[in-house]
Amino acid sequence: MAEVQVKESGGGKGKSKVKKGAGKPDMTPMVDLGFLLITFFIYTTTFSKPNTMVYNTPKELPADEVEEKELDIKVSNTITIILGENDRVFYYQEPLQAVVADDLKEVDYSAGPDGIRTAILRLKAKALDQDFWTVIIKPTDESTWANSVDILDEMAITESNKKAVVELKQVEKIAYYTKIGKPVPAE
Amino acid sequence: MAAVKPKRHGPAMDMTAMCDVAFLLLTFFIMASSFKSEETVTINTPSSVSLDLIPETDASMVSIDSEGRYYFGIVDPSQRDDFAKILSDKYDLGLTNKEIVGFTTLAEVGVPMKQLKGYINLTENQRAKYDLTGIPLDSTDNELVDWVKTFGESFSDSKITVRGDGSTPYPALRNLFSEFSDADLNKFKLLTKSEK
Repeated sequence: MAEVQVKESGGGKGKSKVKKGAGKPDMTPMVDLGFLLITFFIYTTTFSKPNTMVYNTPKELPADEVEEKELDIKVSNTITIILGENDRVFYYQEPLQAVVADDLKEVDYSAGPDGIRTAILRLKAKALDQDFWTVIIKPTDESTWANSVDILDEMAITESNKKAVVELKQVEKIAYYTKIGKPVPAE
Repeated sequence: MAAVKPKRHGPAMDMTAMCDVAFLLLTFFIMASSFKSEETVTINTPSSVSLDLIPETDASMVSIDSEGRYYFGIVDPSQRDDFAKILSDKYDLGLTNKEIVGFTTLAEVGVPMKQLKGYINLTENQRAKYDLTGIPLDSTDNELVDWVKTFGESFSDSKITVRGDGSTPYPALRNLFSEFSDADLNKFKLLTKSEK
């Protein structure tokens, strides 16, 4: 420990009372205080800032400005992902009208061989035209926000830039609820 | 001959340098830190690989808790007083200067405008017990849109960040995006945690 060194003034005769420079102050409590304050500031500081993901929704046009455009997207250029309850996720690659419960393949949110990422990448590689590769995301009412963010994240990872978040059609609802073995909710 | 014994001192360390370092760090942290504002709700955002950071200024923040209630907040604390003034004038809330200062300490507001004045005047403990209803957002009363629009009018180039709890059911978000889309607000930044 740092200590104040008081020099023994030998003798004891008159002249010895002259101070020989100030003693060294003990810095230990000051250092303690300094580190205590540092600790306090570290704990109260918001360090890691959250990051953000850009999400744009389509602009709603007034009815008279809507252009009916028939976009010809080949089924093999698309994947439809249905976000289900309890972190379950299904995908299919069928024409919308023809989809039945057996077409839905269940995957999970992991990056492993059973994960949605593998499925997206596999179908993307097989797509007829890479430029028109489209992902359609359909979150059900039971899915959570984390599920949607996870899937949007997969879009960034698999570089699927054409994507849309849309509602489930009745035919898909029937397929989905049949798949998970629950009654289809009334419309 | 008697050997000259060197005088024994206890081991002494010079603390000056250590003290300097400690206070240097202290100064750094004081300058670099921004204090956490009083959080009304705890929201556990999902994580993503995105690298964009949250904008520091001109950003409003719509939070959705796991129950699907909506909250409104402003990211930069120094913009909160200007916003409160404009909001108070526009909707005739009659906030006093003291209440506007009180507003700046709130990270987010979870009460409708009509109750805002009363909510600010509560103490911290009372606020914690307050039964928050969230800001209404449905087809009959889309007050949250008014908050965001007022913010957009107050600060040019404003951005809307959406901070949803990971366990929020999707319909609460669908409602948010469709109501905002009807009000011609289409660009959002979704707040997420970094995965690293």
